[in-house]
Amino acid sequence: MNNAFPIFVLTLIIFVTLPAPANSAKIGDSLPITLPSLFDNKKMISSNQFKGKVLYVDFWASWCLPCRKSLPQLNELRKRLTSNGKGFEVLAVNLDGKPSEALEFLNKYPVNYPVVYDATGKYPKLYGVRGMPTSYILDPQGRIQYVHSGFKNSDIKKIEALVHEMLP
Amino acid sequence: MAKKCRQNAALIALTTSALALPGINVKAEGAPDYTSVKYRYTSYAEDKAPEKYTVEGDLERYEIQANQIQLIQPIGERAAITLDYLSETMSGASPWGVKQGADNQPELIMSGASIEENRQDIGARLKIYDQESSISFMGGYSRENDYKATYGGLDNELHFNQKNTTVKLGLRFSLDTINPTQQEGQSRVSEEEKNSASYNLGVTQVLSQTAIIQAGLEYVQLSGYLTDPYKLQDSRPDVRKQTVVSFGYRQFIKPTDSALHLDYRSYTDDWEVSSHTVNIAWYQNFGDRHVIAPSIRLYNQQKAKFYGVYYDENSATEYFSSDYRLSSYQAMSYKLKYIKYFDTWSFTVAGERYESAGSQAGGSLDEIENPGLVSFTRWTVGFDIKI
Amino acid sequence: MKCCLDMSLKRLSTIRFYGLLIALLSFSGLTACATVEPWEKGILAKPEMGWTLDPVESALESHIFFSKEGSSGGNISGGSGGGCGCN
Repeated sequence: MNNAFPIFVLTLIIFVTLPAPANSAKIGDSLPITLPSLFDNKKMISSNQFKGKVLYVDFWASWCLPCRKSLPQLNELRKRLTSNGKGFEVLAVNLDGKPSEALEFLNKYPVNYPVVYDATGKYPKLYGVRGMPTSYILDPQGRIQYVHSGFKNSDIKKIEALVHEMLP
Repeated sequence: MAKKCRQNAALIALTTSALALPGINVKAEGAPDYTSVKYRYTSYAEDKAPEKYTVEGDLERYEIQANQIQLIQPIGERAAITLDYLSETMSGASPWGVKQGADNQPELIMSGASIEENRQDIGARLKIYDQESSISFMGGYSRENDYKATYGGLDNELHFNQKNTTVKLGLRFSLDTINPTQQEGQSRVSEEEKNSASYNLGVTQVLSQTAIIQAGLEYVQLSGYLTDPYKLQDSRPDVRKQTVVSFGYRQFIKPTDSALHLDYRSYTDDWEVSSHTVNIAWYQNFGDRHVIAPSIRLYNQQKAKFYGVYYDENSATEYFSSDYRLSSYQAMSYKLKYIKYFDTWSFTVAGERYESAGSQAGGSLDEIENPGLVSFTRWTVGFDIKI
Repeated sequence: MKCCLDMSLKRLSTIRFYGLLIALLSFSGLTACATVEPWEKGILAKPEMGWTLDPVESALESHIFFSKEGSSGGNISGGSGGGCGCN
């Protein structure tokens, strides 16, 4: 029985020294996204379409609780900013296992901004997403300026302030 | 393989410091963002004592009705408090001891029918979530007419490797006081103390998108009055050191939309009690509104070194107990649970049947089945509400 | 029923901790470089994939086993609680 302890500690050490992934977006990186729309898989949407605007790229999934909170808040933020004729857009990249799971959620909580579906996880890997949700704020030239991980209701004010600063 | 992992780890460290991508927020994933209330009602009834072996007392054994309420309240955006309240009413007879009858047949002495007793337990836990860790503080108080316990503890969870690995450290203590109700013709202790301290370490590892494993190690030290004051000729050491090793495994099965739960526990202590417990459960989804979960639990225990099925004056030792809990026996229980989810609330009902039997019939005296071994049926119903 | 229970439990008790620990070690070794990405955790986030689906019921269930059996502990996810469990 006492011999179990060193083995246990060894197991612990192995667990703790497991590696983290290598990719990560750097400030100023330009990593364009081209994916099919969640609502129509024949319609391709590219982040380049939104050059000239501050773009909020949001990686989310319907099973992720903070993500669920963030969508209605981002929709409100977009309404506030775009009604003033400001150059701001949200591009949501959905990462659900099945598109139907995301559609079910969006039926209940519809959003006015474009939602694309990444079936293979290509873009979160490219960007180096390390938790759900993770968002990136891109300047009007399409360069990454900020990363935002997680989502709390109080975050929306900080996001709004940052976007205001970046607006052209 | 190992070398490659190390290089990756070094690279991430370098790029992280070089990129300095400004972050807005420290994420506190996992903190609940709504208030929830849970209620459970449980009815528990033990089978009658065996008429064949019972020579004294009442055959009707324990019955318990329990009400439990849990409230989870978020505090700010990265903390939550959980309040637990339990009130249970107990009545019925319990085994006092076993004596030697004709032909070495054990004879069970039961208590008389007891008056209703009540236990109340109130506990609180504050959990604070941080980016890659969480910490919990807990405390509580339990009171019944002859027993009081004040308990507390601390848990620290650390996440690594993109939350694929979690290490949990936990400490628990309990300070108990026992005031046995006095019975005519028996001399019992009037007030005694009993303390316990427990240390545990757990590691959880995500194995794949559908599988997760957990290993745990726990050490518990009990000290003080560990004798059962309600048993005849019961005398136990005043220290008990327990070691528990446990494993858990969860596997999701996509084609059938179900989850398999496997749990194993190995227990040993310095009274030489040891046990193996296996629990297997199958959670079957029917759409996203119904869950049916059958499960089975197997339990196998080896007796304490000072256990005897009945007291023998000629070979009296310092310590002795004929408590069925310290005997060699096996138990099997079957459980069925159903959950129905609605938008903001859920309903659950569960039934469990537990049966125990001595390890071996015949053979040496130690192996005579203790007639006090318990079998029971439990029903639980309840609901959870999101506010 | 009893005979089969005897047999299965006997076989069970011959399993050594080491076997299980080694199995765990090899599991962790196999997965050491195959990380599950944060966006791939939809299934693991399901409530039925948790350690305890019903912690309130489990707390009482653990208390019953603690009261009626000779061993306790090992429930690292469950709550504790006081009580004599004498009767």
